[in-house]
Amino acid sequence: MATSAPPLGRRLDWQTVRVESTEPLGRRARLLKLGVTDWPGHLPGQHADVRLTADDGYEAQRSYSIASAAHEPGVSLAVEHVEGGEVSPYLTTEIRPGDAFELRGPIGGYFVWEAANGGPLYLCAGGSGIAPFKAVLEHRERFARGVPTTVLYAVRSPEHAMFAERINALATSDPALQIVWTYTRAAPKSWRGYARRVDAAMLRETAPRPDARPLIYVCGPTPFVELVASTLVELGYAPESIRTERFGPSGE
Amino acid sequence: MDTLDANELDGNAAAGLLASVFVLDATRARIVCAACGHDAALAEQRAFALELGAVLRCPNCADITVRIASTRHGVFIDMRGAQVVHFV
Ligand SMILES: Cc1cc2nc3c(=O)[nH]c(=O)nc-3n(C[C@H](O)[C@H](O)[C@H](O)COP(=O)(O)OP(=O)(O)OC[C@H]3O[C@@H](n4cnc5c(N)ncnc54)[C@H](O)[C@@H]3O)c2cc1C
Ligand SMILES: [Zn+2]
Repeated sequence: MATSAPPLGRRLDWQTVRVESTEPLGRRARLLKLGVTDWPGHLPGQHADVRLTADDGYEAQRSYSIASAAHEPGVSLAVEHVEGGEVSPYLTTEIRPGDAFELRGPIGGYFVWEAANGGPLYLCAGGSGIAPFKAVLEHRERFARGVPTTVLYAVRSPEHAMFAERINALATSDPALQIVWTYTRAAPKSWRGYARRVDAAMLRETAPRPDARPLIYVCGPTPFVELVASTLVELGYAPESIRTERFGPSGE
Repeated sequence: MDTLDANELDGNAAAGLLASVFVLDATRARIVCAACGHDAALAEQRAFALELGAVLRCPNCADITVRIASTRHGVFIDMRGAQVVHFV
């Protein structure tokens, strides 16, 4: 940058981070645990930008939600492998512990939920859109267990689910937390729950009633978010009560 | 809303670039569209985010509200399409 005036406050800048460890998340995604040295702490729901630079100087940049709880040290990203993608196949299949890349974050105050915001809470995730909600649910578990919460999680198949065990475990020990799964392509054998794309009937059956004034968060592929948010408005939920974050075309 | 493009994002995708310029959180800033007067959060603007910039459009009328470009000469922000940008 050509400017030289020093910032008065703190602006975000890139920092080099190192991959501490990685682990598979279902069959299609990977959790990257990053060692960050300069991290002010994050809020549940925030994201970070990743910048990769090739040897020839070519750069690619993408955003990823912070999947790790804000009250725990470190930063974890949950990256879904997008076939034919430029960045996610590298992050899910090639990167190794010890490798480094640049990170800019934490970012955003709009798609954030904290205990003080209260509830009831209705979280709708499509595919990798569960990543920010994992941080939200762990924050809730620690600081706001009583807040009535329903998660509607749409995934193509059980192998596409991220954090399935963790999320189910949070719910089994907590009567105020309900997880509703829908499998859009292939359901487990003898599955009796939803096995279709999200539609108006499913939203009506799973969301708190409009007069309960739920706080609604919708996250995932753009077509998923558009459909869920516009259907909720048709069902009578106030547009101001619905917060959205669109991930682009990647699969639901 | 007119036809949907799956590549479309929203203002959240431009938030990192904006946070490299503004100290206050830009995603919660309210934008009043100059064309139709619609008032929405920056995060709710429709966005085509390129890596080094973004074009934000009003979620109501789809007119361009904000354009951001990051260049070797600094970050340029064109807010002609916004009547008011209200940081909260
Ligand atoms: C705020 C934010 C948070 C995000 N958080 C996460 C997260 O936590 N986890 C996560 O996995 N992802 C997240 N994403 C998505 C992520 O940033 C990347 O978009 C994703 O990883 C794909 O990047 P890529 O480089 O692999 O694919 P790209 O190279 O960007 O391509 C994406 C895919 O779209 C296909 N494609 C491209 N153009 C079209 C088209 N016109 N029509 C149909 N298909 C097309 C490509 O073939 C490819 O399969 C987030 C995005 C945003 C904006
Ligand atoms: Zn407008």
